[in-house]
Amino acid sequence: MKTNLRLKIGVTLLAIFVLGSLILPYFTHLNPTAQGTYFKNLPVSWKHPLGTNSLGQDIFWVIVFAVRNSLLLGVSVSLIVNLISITLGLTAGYSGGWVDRLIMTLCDSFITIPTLPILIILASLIKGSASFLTIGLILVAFGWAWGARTTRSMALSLREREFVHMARFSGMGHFEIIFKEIFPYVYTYGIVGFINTILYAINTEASLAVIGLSNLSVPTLGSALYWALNYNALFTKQYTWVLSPVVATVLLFLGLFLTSTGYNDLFAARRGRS
Amino acid sequence: MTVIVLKSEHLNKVYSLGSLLRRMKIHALDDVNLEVMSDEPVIISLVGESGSGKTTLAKVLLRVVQPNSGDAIVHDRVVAGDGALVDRHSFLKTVQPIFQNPFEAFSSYRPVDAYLETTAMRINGLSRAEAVELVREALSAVGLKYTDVHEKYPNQFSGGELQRVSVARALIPRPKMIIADEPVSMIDASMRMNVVNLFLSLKNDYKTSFLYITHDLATAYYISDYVAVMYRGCIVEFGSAKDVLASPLHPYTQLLLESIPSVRVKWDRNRFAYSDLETKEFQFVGCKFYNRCPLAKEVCAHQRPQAVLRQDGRSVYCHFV
Amino acid sequence: MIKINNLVATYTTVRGTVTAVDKVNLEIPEGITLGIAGESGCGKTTLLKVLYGDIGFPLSIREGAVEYGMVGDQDEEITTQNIQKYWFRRIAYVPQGSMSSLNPVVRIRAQFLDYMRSGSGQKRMLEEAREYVKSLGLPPEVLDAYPHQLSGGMRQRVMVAMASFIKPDIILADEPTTALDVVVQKGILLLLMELQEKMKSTIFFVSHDMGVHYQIAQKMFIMYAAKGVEYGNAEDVFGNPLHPYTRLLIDSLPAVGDTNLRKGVSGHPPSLWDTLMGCRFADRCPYATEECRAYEPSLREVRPGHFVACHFSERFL
Repeated sequence: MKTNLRLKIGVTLLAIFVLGSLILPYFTHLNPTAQGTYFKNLPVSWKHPLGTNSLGQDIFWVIVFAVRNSLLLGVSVSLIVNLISITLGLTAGYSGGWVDRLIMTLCDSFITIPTLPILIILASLIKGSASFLTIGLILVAFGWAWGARTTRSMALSLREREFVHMARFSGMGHFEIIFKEIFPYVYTYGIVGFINTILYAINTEASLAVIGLSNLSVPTLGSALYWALNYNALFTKQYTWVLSPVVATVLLFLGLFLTSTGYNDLFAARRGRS
Repeated sequence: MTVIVLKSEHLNKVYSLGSLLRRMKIHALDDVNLEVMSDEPVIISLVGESGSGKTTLAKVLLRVVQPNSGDAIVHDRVVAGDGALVDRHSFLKTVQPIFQNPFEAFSSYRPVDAYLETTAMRINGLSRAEAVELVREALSAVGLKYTDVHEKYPNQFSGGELQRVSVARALIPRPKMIIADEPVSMIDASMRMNVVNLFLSLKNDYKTSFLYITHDLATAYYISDYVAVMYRGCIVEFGSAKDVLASPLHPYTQLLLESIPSVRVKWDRNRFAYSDLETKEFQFVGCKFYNRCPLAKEVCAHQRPQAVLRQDGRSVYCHFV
Repeated sequence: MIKINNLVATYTTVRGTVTAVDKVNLEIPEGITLGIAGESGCGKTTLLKVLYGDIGFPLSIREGAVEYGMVGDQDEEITTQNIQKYWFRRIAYVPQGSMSSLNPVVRIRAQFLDYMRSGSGQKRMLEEAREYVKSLGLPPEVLDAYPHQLSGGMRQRVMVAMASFIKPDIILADEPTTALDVVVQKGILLLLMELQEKMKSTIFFVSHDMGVHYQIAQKMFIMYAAKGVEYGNAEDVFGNPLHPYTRLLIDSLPAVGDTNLRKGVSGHPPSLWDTLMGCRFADRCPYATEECRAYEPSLREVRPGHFVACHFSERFL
């Protein structure tokens, strides 16, 4: 069936990336951040599957480590962001009253704060050698607000539906209702939000790299692209260098997207819908 | 032992509609007074067209909305208004609802018997195994088999079946009263009696009273002991079902009776009056039925009729009866 | 005369193709109200869609055709292919849910004028619309209101006004009163009956409520599981229902003053995904025999003007 094909492709792609990026690093003694390990700008060969770049790094291994680091960053940021935004959004939407107002004021403050100027100020304070943890925290701080708003409006409309009343009359408590009745309807959005947050995390990390806030010696998909662009890889025709992070990102996202939508279809089918 | 099955005293609920510049007050419930006392369980039908306030009354009784003033009593317990029962648990054992749209009453993400189990475990305080037994019994009381319902999702049932599952769920805590808000309006006409007859048999077997809210007097006739007729937030007639439906006194009750699409008698096409804009009728100072009433006179436009209590226990709110 | 010739209409879905209308053959005289009755899912809405010409993926006509017996502007015969030009000019549709058929951000008067394609004098058209709406007993403020300011019943009356304003030859009403209470329902039905007498349109009225049909239909067509099972004049069908399903439908309705206990119809219609053999009603029919399960009865004229698809229709004569 069509839906399972989607799921299969998605899971396969993801498996390649996740397993590859987690396992492969154990097969090399390389320090991917070290520059000058190899001759520069070597073409594609058996020894260097994607060639080497102008920093003397093996592109293939850079990508492997980059995928791992990006995934780790993206997934952990996304998990935390979504945990915060869904919890706060659902609580605000379902409770209403002053709880709602308090959370939404907090949320709106974060949404309206112009991200870039703040980041520039932060960049000038930290001056280039931020740890991954700091970056993660910054990403979380700027990432949770939109999701909370959207989740809250969903919760607001769901709260009035009859099955919520039914659940109340079945003796369920408020938090139980939020997570058993309302959350499943929010779940689909949550998955899309999860993927989008990974995208946001990886992209923002790259943007931060450009303005000097990130740790550029640590390879991530963003910084790999940064270095390639910095060395004008497009103009010097070093296509593998500049395209490999792009292709890796696209395939990674394809894998995430297909998996989530495929799984959603599967779950829908199991619930009796055809 | 005679109890107050249902009582509402000066119940008022006001909604505010309109934009910033033109706010209108709509009295969804306008000084509603009702009392039914009995020593046996009864079925009370609350009848009226849409916009009559019957659903609002149900919402007040179910504590979904708070009344502006007045209070309501079900089975000797105050459920709404001042002095209302605080304990949610005993409230849930007093009233249980059945909603109009069976497909909306269940979340599509949970199997329907999950709600029944939860009710049994939370309200009756049973263990899972005991709960399953109780669910099985409740389902067979409504004519369904446990195996047909277990682990099935709402879209695998027809409207009538799903509504019966709703009834089963409402029955589990053995409530004193089940409030059914237009339970058969969304079911095919030919299947309605299945659910309606169920109320009658449940009243006898489980000693539960019912508040049956509907606009369809024909089904109300079959099972009701008492009938209350509402129009635009006011009660216009109340009495035992046989009396009210066999010889209606208020012109609106007569209009309702004549509007039933029967398969036996053709309508008299000359006797009908269209309603005006809802909001205008709600705001009217005198009798709200004034514009459509064949008996209307001057006094009706200015003065709201008070209840005329008759010897047979009936009350009618009209100047001319 | 409007003719439906051997019509087979199907829906194509992910699961496969399902036949929603299975070889329906009817001749309907003009100027009457035809009541189409049956349970949810029997195919009556699909039949109406085909009549309206609203055919588009996933609905398609696999066999047969509809003959409208009308000619268009250039004297060409109107068929399913070209009827779209005549929507809300010669043929109009009153849908079930008025809430989703009216644009919520546009005033009613603008939506009324949407249908006027002649383009001559919007002002004059609006005056005519106001007159018309008043003649139907609607309060004059209705045209200036937004849809959400009106109650469901009022909106449905507006839909009926819109559909009848252009004096169409055919009006298709798909369960227009289903979600409404009895009083408002009566109002709309009386309105339709009055319009029909004045304009002499042909009205196709779909409903699952036999009581409604009894009040307004002149001819009746009963459908079950995509097939037509009975057709005839309303007096005949109600006075002497020949098909057991029709009897069940009529007997399941309660009436004030009745003393016998009424029972609703039990069971389900068969799933249209299964391959069906024999009479589709056999499982629920109190008179079914082996012959019924093996051979499908066809809609035959058993009495003058009264058609039924049942092997044992003679039994009820």
